[in-house]
Amino acid sequence: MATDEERLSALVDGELDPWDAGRLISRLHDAPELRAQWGRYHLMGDVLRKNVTGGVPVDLAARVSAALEQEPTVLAPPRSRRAHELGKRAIGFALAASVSAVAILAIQHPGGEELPLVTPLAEAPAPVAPVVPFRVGTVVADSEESRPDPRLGPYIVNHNEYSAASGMHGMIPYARLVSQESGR
Amino acid sequence: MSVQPKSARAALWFCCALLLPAAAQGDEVDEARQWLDRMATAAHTLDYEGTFVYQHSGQLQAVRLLHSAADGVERERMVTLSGPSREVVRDAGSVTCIIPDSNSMAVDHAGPERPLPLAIAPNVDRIAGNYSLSLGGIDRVADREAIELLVQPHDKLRYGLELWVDTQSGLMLKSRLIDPSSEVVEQVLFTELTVEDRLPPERLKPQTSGRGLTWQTASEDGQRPAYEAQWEATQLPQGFTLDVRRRHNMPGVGPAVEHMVFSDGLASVSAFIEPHRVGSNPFLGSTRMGAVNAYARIVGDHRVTVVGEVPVATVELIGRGIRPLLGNHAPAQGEGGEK
Repeated sequence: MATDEERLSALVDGELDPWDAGRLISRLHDAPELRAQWGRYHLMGDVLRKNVTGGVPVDLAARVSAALEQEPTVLAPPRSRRAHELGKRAIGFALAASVSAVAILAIQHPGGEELPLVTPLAEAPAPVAPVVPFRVGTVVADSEESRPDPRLGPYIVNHNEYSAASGMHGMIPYARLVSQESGR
Repeated sequence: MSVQPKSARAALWFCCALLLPAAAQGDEVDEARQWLDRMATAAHTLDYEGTFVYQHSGQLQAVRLLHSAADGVERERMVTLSGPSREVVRDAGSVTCIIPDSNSMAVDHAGPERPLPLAIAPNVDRIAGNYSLSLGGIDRVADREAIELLVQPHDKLRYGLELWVDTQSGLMLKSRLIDPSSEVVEQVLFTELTVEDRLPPERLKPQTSGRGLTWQTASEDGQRPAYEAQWEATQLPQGFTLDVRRRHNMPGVGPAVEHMVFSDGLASVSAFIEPHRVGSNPFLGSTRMGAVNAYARIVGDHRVTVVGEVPVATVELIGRGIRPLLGNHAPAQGEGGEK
């Protein structure tokens, strides 16, 4: 009967049969010494294959576990009304990013010279919404992958200035501006 | 014969029955108009301070609002209460937005053609012409008595509006923008509001500046030269008219943008027309951003971008109808951008 070390070595080399591999992997979950050994075998293999440059990584398994704990839980909502709501929210966030970027544009180039829009947006410290490849003549914002377009920012800000709703109660267009979530 | 007088009397009663509710309805519309008028006046002439919650596209933000109209000069300050402190300070000549996440500040100056919207009084006649006005019940908002006003469009090309107006001061306490499928697109709700005799001027100065922000001022644009209009809108929903036409520099867009603003008194739509640079990658098509929709297409060697707080069908309708004015050089042939 092979020892754990032998089986582990076979696993690292990809030579353990699937049934044994499955059992061993589920045991690795609860056995820190075994995980440490598994990490050392991988390191040894890497050193032998000259894959290691620079410092030697310590306790691979522990670091992977720690990294996994840091990861946010990814919840995948069903494609439902809820997903639709989330999509809408993403639009709001991304619009926020675009508005921040616009605000910077307005100051950095007060003379209003003609500027390629892409460059100042890239310079903006605020996160900028990803640019969606355009689709002509279709409503894109209701689909999940769509984002408001940062290229529309200057138009929206200029439109606000002349919005008739401003006359009724001036604050609403500016409430829109000020209430945008910062970044994502 | 006694039948005829009887039926004549019945007809008379029938007419009265028809007329009475009509008269009552007329009264209600008049009263709703008076409230709209009063609301607009109060918003611009009173000193007040309050906190409102703004809800839009699944976002919620609490905002502190201060408004002063001392000596006939309006000043307004708005600051967000959660997240990074964002601030907008408006007076008759400028709008200052302080947005710390960008570590910068934007200043917008009023153009010579028209003052900033702070001073614009709404045209209640126009609103009444394009929407049905009615009164809801008495409600309570921000611990104040409020009367509900309903502003309903006659078609699906604009949003409806529900307003709750403070019966004491005339200030708006709550508003909801409703889309044609009866969903609330945007909502403003005051949680607290006080009317003051006079707000101290120092309270209307921006406070966010003390947090390591750079303070920059945009240079004044000066007088813009007169120009000949080159574009027209051929498809406007009923009741929309051209309110403003100007040509101006738009940072990040270009120096020669023709900007037209159309309005039905309540909703407004902007059309921007600019030369389309070959090799540029502009926004084209339609998109929705909460209450605001946008549509852009190429017309000859120009690009038309339409933006407004109206449903997407409306920006598309207006955008498709923007044409070069006859007699101008801009080609009407070879339109791209639509398939």
